Amino acid sequence: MPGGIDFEVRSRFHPEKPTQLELEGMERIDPTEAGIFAHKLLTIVGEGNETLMKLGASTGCRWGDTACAIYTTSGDNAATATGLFFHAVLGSIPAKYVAKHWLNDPAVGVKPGDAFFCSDPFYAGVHAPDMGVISPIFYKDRLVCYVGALNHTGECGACEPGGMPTTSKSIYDEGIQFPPVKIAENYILREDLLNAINHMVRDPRVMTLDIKAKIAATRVVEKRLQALLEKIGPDYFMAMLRYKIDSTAQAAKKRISQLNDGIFRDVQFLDAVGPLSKLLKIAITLEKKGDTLYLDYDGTSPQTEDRSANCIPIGIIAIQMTYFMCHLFYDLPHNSGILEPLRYKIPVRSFLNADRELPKAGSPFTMDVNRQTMWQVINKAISSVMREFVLAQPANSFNTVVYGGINQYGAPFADAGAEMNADGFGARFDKDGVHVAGASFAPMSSEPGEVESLEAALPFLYLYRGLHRDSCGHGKFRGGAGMDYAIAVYDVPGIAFGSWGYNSKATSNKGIFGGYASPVLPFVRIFNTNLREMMTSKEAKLPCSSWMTYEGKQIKGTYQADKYPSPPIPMKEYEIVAGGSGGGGGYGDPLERDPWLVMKDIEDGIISHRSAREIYKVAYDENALLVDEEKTKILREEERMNRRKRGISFEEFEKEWLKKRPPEEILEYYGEWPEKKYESFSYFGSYLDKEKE
Amino acid sequence: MMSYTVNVDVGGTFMDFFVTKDDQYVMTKVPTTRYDLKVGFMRGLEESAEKFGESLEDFLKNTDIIKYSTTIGTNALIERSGSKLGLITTSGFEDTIFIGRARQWADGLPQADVENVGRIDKPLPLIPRKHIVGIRERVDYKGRVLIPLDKDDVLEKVGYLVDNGVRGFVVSLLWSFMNPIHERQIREIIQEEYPEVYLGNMPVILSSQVSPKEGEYVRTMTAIVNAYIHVEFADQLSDLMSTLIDEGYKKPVLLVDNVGGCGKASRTIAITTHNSSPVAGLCGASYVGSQFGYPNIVYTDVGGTSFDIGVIAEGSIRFYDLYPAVNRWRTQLTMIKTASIGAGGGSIAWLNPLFGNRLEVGPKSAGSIPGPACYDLGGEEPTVTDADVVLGYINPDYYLGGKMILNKEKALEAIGKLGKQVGWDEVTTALMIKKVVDARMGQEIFKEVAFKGYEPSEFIIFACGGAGPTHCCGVADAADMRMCYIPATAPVFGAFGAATLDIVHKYERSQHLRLFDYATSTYFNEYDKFNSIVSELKELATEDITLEGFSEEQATFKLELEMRYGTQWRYTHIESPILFIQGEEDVKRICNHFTEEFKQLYGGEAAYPEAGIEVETFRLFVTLKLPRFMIGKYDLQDEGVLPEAIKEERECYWEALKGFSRTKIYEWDMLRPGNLIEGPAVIEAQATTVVVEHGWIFQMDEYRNGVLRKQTTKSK
Repeated sequence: MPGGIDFEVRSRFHPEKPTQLELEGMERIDPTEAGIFAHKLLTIVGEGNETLMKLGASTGCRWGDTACAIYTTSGDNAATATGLFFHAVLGSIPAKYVAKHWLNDPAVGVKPGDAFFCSDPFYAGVHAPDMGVISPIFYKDRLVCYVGALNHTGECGACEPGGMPTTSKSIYDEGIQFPPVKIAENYILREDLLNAINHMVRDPRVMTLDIKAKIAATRVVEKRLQALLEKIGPDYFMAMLRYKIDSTAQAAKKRISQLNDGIFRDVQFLDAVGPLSKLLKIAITLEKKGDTLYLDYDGTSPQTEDRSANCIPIGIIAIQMTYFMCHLFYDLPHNSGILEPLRYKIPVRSFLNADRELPKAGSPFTMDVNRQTMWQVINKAISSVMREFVLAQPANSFNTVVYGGINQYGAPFADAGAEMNADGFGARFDKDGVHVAGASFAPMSSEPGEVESLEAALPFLYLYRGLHRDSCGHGKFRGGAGMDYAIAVYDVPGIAFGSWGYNSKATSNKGIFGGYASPVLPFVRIFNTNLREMMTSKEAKLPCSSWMTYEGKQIKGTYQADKYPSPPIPMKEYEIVAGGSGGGGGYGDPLERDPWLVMKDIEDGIISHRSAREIYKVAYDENALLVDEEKTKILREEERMNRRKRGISFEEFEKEWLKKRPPEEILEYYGEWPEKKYESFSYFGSYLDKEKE
Repeated sequence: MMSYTVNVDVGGTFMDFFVTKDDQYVMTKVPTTRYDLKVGFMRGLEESAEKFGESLEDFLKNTDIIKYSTTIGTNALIERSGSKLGLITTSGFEDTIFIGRARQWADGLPQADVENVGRIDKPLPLIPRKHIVGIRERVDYKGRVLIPLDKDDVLEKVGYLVDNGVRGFVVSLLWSFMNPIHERQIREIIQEEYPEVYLGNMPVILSSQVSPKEGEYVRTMTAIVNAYIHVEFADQLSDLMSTLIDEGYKKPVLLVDNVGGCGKASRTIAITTHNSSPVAGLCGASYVGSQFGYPNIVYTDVGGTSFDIGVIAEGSIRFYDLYPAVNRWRTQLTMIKTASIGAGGGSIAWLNPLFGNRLEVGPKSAGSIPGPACYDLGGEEPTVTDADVVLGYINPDYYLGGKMILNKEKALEAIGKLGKQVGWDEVTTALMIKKVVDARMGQEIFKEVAFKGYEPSEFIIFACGGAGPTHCCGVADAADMRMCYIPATAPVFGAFGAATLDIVHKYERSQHLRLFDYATSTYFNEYDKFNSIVSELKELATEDITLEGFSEEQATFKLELEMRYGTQWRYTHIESPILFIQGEEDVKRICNHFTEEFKQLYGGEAAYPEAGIEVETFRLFVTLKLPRFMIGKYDLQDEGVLPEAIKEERECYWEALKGFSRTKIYEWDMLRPGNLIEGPAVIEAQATTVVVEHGWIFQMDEYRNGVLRKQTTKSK
């Protein structure tokens, strides 16, 4: 059967071997000329991405969960414009699928003016709401490259609105999932297929506008490439694409080779398996050797058979680009070449490499914990030679509200909130982290929006939105704060309201070099409230921060201490959800923090008096915020003495530690305690050199 | 005797003056006196008067109009010398300006400065958290009051701010643009409680007044930035105006704004003067383009450190920045869009070891001090200007018309040192620098045009600024463009642009209206709702022009609407075919016009009217025509270039000829209208050097502007 579920193609994530033609062409390329060409390509895909963002309608299009990219005829990404860097590598598998299955298929074929739609996470890498269009580009009947436009459309007809169902039990609960299928022929959109797709989703408007936007984006790029091909010819063009990938790989290797060789380890935990509060573990052993990083995930929890915490391995790799391209490789181009020095060994049937039919809607949370784990091992690997790149982990990503229903204008809506784009970032070796800096997985484009624009479109009334007090990891330099919020259902009888994310039970953020982790995040629902009456009563004190909501309970009603994630449930007008995004991790011992900066943090609402007293050990006047420096010195010295008293030898610690074991009920999906070992692995990038030894 | 018009444009290094009388003009440049702009201003007037053989007093007596494009406001932000302000906002939203749409750390910075995300920071706030108070009040998205204002609460919070020494108040409440009642009440309470004598000149600025548009962060920042610069702006202007009055000038000073107009200082909001200089230049290009039949223009200004770009399409300047960053602050001050990248004569060339030592240019710049190596002021790094000297384009003895002597040896040395690392000689290195910087500027132009949905090859380049004409052929090649235009007034083009401006005022208001409703598939029928907004804006406009001494009959009104399809996020603006709507036909007319514009910009496939059609922002312009200056026209000569126009022959490097060749060097001032010069050639002018590359032909037109046309298709 042509096509079919293709396990082989998705293993080809790293760049393909150059063709003979590419190799010959590359010999003639001068680096500076290539730099000019690279900029030209970036301008072209930039125009495509801009078109997609302008014309698309989903939340993803609003804040840049979009990409436009050029792929070689073998499907490797050569140039990307994106706000979310995992797209810089992700679109290549659908392109490879088209090349492998449809290029020479007599019934389908690949011709000028075609466009292929793909939303199957098995190939696209993440989850069903991520959808892409791949168009082949021909020059005088010769296929010269593919162009892709991708974005997170969201609503995709899953068992819950918004595209990321927390309660799904298999991929068949997770909405439409198309492997590459022809959606346009001869530059004309296939209305029958679009119509069919629209019959399967809750918000056909957004689906239609997004698909049209993606096609328009690839058309714009095609127009520009045709002009470029006229000038430089197809051979030079194709060699240049390969050169770009190759030179990026060389540059990445060069940077890696500056690090010391060594082995670095870290583990982190995910506290959410579908809607359940269960524990899963991600273990990474990073070996840095020469110009290569080998990442081994042996020891990670097994796949979750009936709950959505599972991942596709290429998603696990791709999410790490959101670290690399913002930090260690921030000055390198965005294409598949960046994968070259990164080699992965991911256990088969671990939850990072799960069977195809298992639910994966929640994969972003897993991807994120995986990125946090890798972030920490890289911090360890670079700290002695590239201090300027050391950065405590940001808040965990993706915590936000999710909702659906009929809005105040009578139109259907279903999406996830922009609140996820409000993470605090981690502290640095020389300064604090940044408050509410964006989504750490997409800092270049993500925005939490403005309350007025959200209330204009959604049946919401915000009670407050501010810097989330004590959400940061404390330290000599503290992490940036996250953002708190409370939202009441407003101007409609009711909607379905819930949350996405994780990190309500166990933090995925550790802090570094003595800096503290940032805390877990509550999500609270308040039913049957008296909010309406309170608003007109002069005496009633409305909460204006989450701490007031959590502690003060000024609003009367039924409080439910919920969590991230929490599946959407019906909530009536004036019923409230309250929560917040997290802060970044701290750097260094809080006892070394300048006490006057601690005062400033209190004044700015970043930390509480309790933190100042108990964590930073500052003696001060609570009204005037004046530090008693002498007394502070004494308090801090006392704390150091107490630490010494509490201290035990590593052997003693380990002995005690190994006796500990979490309660059985949260280990339901964990696998063998303390660590599961695997025999079978999927490899991405060659592991041969290393395994031989 | 005919009167003068004076147009002044303040830049970072020079203050430019373009003074006209009949069809004559003089151009004057004086150094910018940052410590007190008035000093440079008066010096420039004096020099201009001298050129017309007048004393300053007589000159000013005979001056009808002074138009002034100033940077006072932005300077206050850079130097942090603005007022100590307090912010009064809705309780629960006190942190809005610190959240700053999260991406505040990138606002106002070039991309290169924020790519290393590990090193980002948000700017130091203009108002610290302790000077922000939340008031118990709430209005909803329809403008309905949910929580009434509590006077006692206001008094308590304002008292706190006054006790903390704030010197002005910004009041910005949620949804105040839909219903400003609470903002107005707060102002009344402050004024009641703190009479003039106590408050002094502490301003109370309402966000609903400065910018009645949706988006609480950008609206608040627009109000804050305006309040912050207000006092210094007013002080400096009144100082200048009293000096002018003392010297005999009794007419108004018109301030150039950033929507392509000007207005009396008393009717101008401080923040609207931000970025007025490039906007004036763009307007000048548009004016010249309309005179000579060029509807599609990319206006460029290449200076020492930056490359500014503005786009004119189909004869109009139709592109706005809806959320421009003013210094480091995102605002919602709709202004004409201009872009800027760090590329200019001072941009430094370097080798990138990560990519096989490929040569890159910028964004680091040598600035004017120490400047390029050839300035011989201590700069050792090779720059674009150094490359131009090495390639023979710039005459070291005639830089800035001979005002500055360059050291070619230093240029050779700096460039040689760089090239040596990759085995290139000085010339190859210099050529590569030129190619890289031309490509970068050309691709930026391409981006600016193409991202707006237009075809770059249908545009021409207006090359202004010192390094513009030197590089425009190469830049045009990289942008797929075939024609460049070098205006005779290029050295002071911002000031020239000011001369072409009418009095224009802009009034905006957000109001969400669904002209075609998706859920019900019906057209909008609350005509009064639409019309009352237009009427409200028109009343404001009429009040302003009346106070400026004009009548409604002299004015023309134009309505623009920011529109989108249902659920879309971004807007596309159209000029409404009508001001008021009377029936469904009118509604359909606006909807159809929107879809037509949308299709034209993004293609038929992209349009989707069935999703609903919405209006979000109304923007009304009122224009009062001012007399235009007409540049004197000369007869075209057929006899060819005068022999004395050829200054010399010099060795210049031409890539197409693969080496140096003896090249004719012309003196711009000696060329006559109609003269044709085939490339390769170099034309030296007082303020710039025009490089006519191989395959290009230069012609001086009847207004003494230079026109460069590409002759042949570029071969691979």
